[in-house]
Amino acid sequence: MSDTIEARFYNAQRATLLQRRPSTIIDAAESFNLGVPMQFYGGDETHLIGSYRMGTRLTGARTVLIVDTDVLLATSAIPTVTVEDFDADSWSRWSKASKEAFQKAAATAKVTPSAAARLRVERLAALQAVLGLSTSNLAQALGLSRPGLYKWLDASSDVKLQGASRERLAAVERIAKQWRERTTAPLSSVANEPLADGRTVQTMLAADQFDEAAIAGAFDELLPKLAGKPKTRSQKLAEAGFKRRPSAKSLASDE
Amino acid sequence: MPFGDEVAEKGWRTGAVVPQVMLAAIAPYLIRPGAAAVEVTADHWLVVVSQTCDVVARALEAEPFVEVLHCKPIKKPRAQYRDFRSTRILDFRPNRGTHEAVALSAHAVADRYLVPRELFKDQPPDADRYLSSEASQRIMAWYALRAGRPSWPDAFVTRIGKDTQDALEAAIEPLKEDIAEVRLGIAEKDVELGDDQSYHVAVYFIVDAEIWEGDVEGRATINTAFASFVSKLNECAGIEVDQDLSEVVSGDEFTWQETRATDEWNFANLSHRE
Repeated sequence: MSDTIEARFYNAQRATLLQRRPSTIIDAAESFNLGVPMQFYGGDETHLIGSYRMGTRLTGARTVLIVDTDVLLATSAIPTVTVEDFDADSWSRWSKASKEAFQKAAATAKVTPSAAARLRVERLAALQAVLGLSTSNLAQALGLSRPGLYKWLDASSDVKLQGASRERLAAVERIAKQWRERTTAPLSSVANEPLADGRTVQTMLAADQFDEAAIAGAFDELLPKLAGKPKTRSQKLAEAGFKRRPSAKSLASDE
Repeated sequence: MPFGDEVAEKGWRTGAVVPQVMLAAIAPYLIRPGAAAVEVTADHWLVVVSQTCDVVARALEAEPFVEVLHCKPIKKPRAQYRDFRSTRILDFRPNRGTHEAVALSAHAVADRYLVPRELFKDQPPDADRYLSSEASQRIMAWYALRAGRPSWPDAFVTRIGKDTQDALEAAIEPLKEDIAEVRLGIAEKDVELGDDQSYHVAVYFIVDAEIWEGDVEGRATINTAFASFVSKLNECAGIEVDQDLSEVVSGDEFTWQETRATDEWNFANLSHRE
């Protein structure tokens, strides 16, 4: 039986061993007073993340020991507690330090986005490129909350596009495609221009159920407005020969 | 002939290199406080880093000194010191056209010296060695970056680990085409927060107006970069990206007020503690 919890020494290879048989921590934990709460944290909450819930021989404990091996793989900062040093406060100190280490490790752990997640982000980026809507307005068009849209935009987040969400995205993509076929300017340039019936494309897109044909029809009205928009100050400057000074970062890399 | 014209006629400008024959005259000025004179060997480049307009200023009294940078050869530019990664040390290639294999390194302050301008009146610069236009721009931009970079809190910088820095850099790599600028607002920009408090940041990708109006593929690239950048930054413990404020915005719409409330994102801003 080991008398040291030495999680800090778990490199990837040893962490793999831990995944099969977390002997060191189990042994050390079981040698302690089971009445002491023991916790590991895998994020903001105490929970199990694809790993071990070791409660069978720790039934006397008020809290089960939870080890997040995914995080252990990524961290080198888990503190050490030895039997010799153990006292009533050791677990709380270890728990606190572990929580911080897990949070830090979880934050920096490399997450390899799945192909589906990358595709999802690319679809949204392409959509936003055509529409040019603010994040709020795009979220509305997709029937999402703003944080929800950011989650979709995060390639490391495991969001599955299903049912109504997938349908809605596909519908907005079809609308974007129609706009893209007519102009390279973003729809946002005229999305808030009032149409003959008083509505705007933005409000039409934000409706719970939108009429694709009606929106596409509105494009006929909007395109002349787009062409008639006054030139921006930067357009006037450029046309008059005032070019933007290139930034230093556009210098070719030195390697 | 005015003094400055004589200097100009000799060919002195930003990026010119002091020739070997001038080293003896200049040596007394290549001294660090409290240290012995610096040795400049034949493979070192003593580069003029004053602006050309100052080098050739008509009256000597107006600009009595020329700033020179003592650059020493290295094998190749190191990752942490090239391309403005550090505001202290710059590794760079002085002239790919004439000296393809040469790479140099210099410290912004420790290797910078003031030399009386009158010494530049009688000798032309090194005819074989001079900085390319690009290398000159790089050095001047480096000094500008050093002087103008914002001072972000240590506690904020610490929260952006090396791996995250690499990921952020990869995310905005496509923007090097100068199609957009990344700007960051930090609500607590003057405060060193404790570990239990988070920095609140707003991220803006300001898109070149021409790209915004007419280049759909360019905008897609920028939106992809934005999504990646924001999610990576948001993963940092103790940093919260304000999702209500952060946006991809046309350069025609981002205002002066917003510019003043934000800083240009630059990896050199993270390097001051190195």
